[in-house]
Amino acid sequence: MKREMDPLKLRNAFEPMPDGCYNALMKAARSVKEEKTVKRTAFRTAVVAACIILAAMAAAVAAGSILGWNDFFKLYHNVAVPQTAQEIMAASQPESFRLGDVVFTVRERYSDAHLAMITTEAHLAEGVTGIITADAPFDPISAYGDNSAAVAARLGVDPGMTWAEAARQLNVPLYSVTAMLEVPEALCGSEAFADPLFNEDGSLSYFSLQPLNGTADAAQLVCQVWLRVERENLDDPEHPMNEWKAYEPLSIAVQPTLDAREYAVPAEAQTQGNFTLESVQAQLTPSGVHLIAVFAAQAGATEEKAYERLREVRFVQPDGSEYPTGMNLSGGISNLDQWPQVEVKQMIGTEKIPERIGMSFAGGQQPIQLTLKK
Amino acid sequence: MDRDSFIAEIEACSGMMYRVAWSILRNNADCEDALQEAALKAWEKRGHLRNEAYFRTWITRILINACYDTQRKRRRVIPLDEVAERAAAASPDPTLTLALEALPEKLRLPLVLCYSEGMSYEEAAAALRIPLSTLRGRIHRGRGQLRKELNAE
Repeated sequence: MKREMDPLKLRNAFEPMPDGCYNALMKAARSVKEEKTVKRTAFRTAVVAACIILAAMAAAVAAGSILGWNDFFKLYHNVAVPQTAQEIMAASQPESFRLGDVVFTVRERYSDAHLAMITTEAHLAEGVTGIITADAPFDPISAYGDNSAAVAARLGVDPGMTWAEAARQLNVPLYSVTAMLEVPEALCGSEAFADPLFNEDGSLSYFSLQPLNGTADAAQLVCQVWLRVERENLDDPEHPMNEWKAYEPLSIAVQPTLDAREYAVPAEAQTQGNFTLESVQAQLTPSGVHLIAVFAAQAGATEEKAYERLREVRFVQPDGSEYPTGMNLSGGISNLDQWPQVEVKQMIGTEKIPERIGMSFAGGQQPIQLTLKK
Repeated sequence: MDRDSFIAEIEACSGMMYRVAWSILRNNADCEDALQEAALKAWEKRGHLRNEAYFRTWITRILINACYDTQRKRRRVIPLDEVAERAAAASPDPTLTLALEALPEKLRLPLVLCYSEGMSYEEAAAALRIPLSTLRGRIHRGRGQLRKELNAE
């Protein structure tokens, strides 16, 4: 019998919290002791400060105050951008586009065969006042996380307010913007992501990253940035007052692969259900190390089984501990287009290809050790 | 945040914390370890919580990290089939439990945060430390897979 998923009843999938778990949690909570309290730094909240911030949004922005990829990764994911990649991004020539009342500037850009990424700073054009936000203007300011709570404090509004409510309180227009990198489909790998952070002056840094499939081999990646600006109608979310959209061409130098090696696959790792592990390769680029396991589907294999069997394949350090996360923040089955070959990729945040790695599979087995071929 | 407020907040979140821990660890012994570690770490880091209104999202993030720590230290190997059947036996909706267990954790956890615990997409993305667009993609795929699992009965 067909059954519709009622999302509100997902809680019925869980047994009630067992007494053992409740007691363990509350025992730990009650065991804590108060020490001398630490005075917290107060945020600036005056309305006068808010007016200054709004006016400053239209002014030219000092490059040093704009958040970049290094800031993004430190705030969210504890990923370090390798020094070489940082230098390449810092050397990028800024390129600006005006769209309606907003000026976008593509600041950092980086690409190699495995990923392409940009930061785009967005601020209101000179003479325009208002608040600028990203893609959810009628959601609470706080919903964007720590960074936007500080923005709410600087505006002098409650972070629980929506952006629209804040704009209404301050009696200024509200703009929502998007700036996303678009790469030719033939080069795309796994899922892309885009995320904003707010700079100290209220402008926005938009971070956009597209994993690639490893086939980009030209010196330049010819792509585009999709830009969107909406001036919101505070009384009618469905009908903005103005809307502008544009695709602007962009090119990013493709960094070469610095080293490529292969690991020897031990016999005990070769058979994984209906799949045979054929090879494990490592490629070093300025962004980090990209590990690629290639499996071959055997008789009885299906895409569903590939997903079931191979989704938990992970590369780990020889002692079983996790590697630092690579900049693309993703991993797993990257490519079913080449069936019966299935690729599982993982990027690790190291600056050279490890001599030995571990490979763990579903089912909690001990990781298999792999060593580089001579 | 003082000690009494902290204890009250932990108690209010206890059910949610258990369900999130179970979604990752899938056995009660490990859940006990992770829940204890999360409570102690949260107290240690309470100065980082800027607004007590966001306690739930904040403690969820700490708990998820504690669960991953517990997973790394795990010595026992638990057959996945056994885990799913034990969980199903004790839940109000065993079919739903098995279907949820069949999802990969990457898709299961966002569904649990949003549809079992009522977090907004933005709260869940903040708790999981993933971009909002990624969270939306995983919710979409998770719902599709869960629907498929349920209709396979």
